[in-house]
Amino acid sequence: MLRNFIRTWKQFSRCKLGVVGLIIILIFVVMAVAAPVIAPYDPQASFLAPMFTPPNSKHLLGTDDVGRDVFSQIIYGSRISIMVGLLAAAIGTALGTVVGLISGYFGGIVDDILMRITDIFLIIPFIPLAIMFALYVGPSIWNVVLIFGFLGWPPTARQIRSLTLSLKETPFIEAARAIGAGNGRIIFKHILPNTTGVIVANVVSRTVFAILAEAGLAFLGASDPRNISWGMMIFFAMRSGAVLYGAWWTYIPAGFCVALLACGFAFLGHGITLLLNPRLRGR
Amino acid sequence: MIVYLVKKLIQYIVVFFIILVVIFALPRLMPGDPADYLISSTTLQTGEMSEMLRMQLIERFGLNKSITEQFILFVTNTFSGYLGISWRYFPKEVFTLIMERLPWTLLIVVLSRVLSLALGYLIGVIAAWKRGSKLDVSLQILGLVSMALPSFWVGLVLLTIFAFYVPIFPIGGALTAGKIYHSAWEYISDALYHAALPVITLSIVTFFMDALIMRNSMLEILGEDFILTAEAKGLKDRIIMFNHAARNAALPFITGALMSFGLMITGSVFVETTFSYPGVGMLLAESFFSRDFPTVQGILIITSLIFIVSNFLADIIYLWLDPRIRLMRSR
Repeated sequence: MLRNFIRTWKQFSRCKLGVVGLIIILIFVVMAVAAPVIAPYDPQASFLAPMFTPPNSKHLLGTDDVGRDVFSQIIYGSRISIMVGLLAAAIGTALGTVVGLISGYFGGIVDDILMRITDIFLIIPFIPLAIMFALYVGPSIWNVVLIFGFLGWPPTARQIRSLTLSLKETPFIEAARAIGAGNGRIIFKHILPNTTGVIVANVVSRTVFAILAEAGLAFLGASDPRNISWGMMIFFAMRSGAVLYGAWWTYIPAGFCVALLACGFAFLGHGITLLLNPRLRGR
Repeated sequence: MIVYLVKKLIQYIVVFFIILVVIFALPRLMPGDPADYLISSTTLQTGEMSEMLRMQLIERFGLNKSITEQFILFVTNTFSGYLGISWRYFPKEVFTLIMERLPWTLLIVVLSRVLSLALGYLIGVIAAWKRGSKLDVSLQILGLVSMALPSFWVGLVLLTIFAFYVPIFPIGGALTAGKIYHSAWEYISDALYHAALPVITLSIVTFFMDALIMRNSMLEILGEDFILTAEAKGLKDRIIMFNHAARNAALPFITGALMSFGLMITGSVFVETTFSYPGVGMLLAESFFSRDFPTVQGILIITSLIFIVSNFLADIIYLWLDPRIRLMRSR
């Protein structure tokens, strides 16, 4: 087990980008977990200093339009981004995995129907639908999780399906069937464990999109104003005319964090893909 | 080939229908009376006005009829181009409102697509040719980075630098407010001047991916025998690169470009909001804010349609460009 892990790590660490991605993510995770310890102020406490105070020694990234400490808000904002991103990606990947397994394993009509549905889901425009959804159910961070989760499964389903198609022809599945294992047992006990790599790669790469989607919707104001997120900070900065005040510290660092965290996941995804497909390494 | 396209077309019609069902079902799945729900969230809330509006809405959406009749009414309305009346820009029709804003979105999306694709094509071809070079490696890394860039943030960075600190571009809008134009040229140059930053922003976000798609497609072609033949014939590198390899590699690039066009129409909402650019995207954000339900629904319907049409066009062009498929018909 441990030896396996070390061998995988050695292979993975050959890709510098992947390691960089992992480090970026870890830093943000520590930031999110230890937010109350790191943050110098309460992120919601207003009038700590005059509005749009530029960065100084007391407020590392200045204050926003109601005198809240931007640095503290950024630290707390990492919680929303990481949570929403991972959760949405996990739901999407889980759904996609189930659809892909069933579709690939049973084949025939089941496969036909599921793949047609997958094609349909691939074409539904995500952003306007998410906005309309937010309009009806009210702004909330769960919108992104739900919509992205339920619309984001098709790419995973396709990958898992093709993997399942090749796995089910292998001798060990035949052997399992020969000793009388049922369909459910074969799918979940024998095929699923062999798709772990693809599943992990999918969660990571879907997270990139989910983080961006969450930030984007919050930027448009379609997120819960009670939970500070990076997108939300930019939304408030735009509303209060921070650009015209020259108060760049209220929106540039927040957007930078979105980009950096998403980058971290993109790099990690790249590293994992190389690990899974050694053939790609030369390219 | 025709059978394939018809199958695709049916699939797209099904998708559009599903979107209509979702739009139709959402307000009706919410607890309470849809009419109450719709009215309570408008600015016109109290007294007689509300009662009058309520009667109108019930009439308009046929809320006193059965669900199937309501759905048929909704679908026929949609297909005849009636998408309801905007609440924010009362009494303007949603369809007219969207058609007024659409040209601005098309302007920045088309310009940025042309810019990004042309550069992406060129850089992609060169990167594949010089595989493993500094250019190639940095393109791969930047491709990953650009995937993670929020377009509104890129826009804000450009806005801060080029409209605030070094004010060479306008801070927002599509035209200079109150300006009187003496010639068409003046109008066009003013429009382009305002479109510059949004177009550059959109291009930065898409360029690296466009280039990477071209590069990867080129790499596959470069391994083929006919490239070796061309080299053996002693043809110049530039001719092999652009005339032999790039032409054959362009197929996925072109169809990808068309498909991304639909995606960009909906994605431009962020850039438009950043630059207060009065396209459909900003209309969507505004309507969301003023809880203008009919307009949000209308935009979803229209953008889905554009999305679907550009996908279908991509399918057709793919078949048309690939001679292997085109010529199968004559057999």
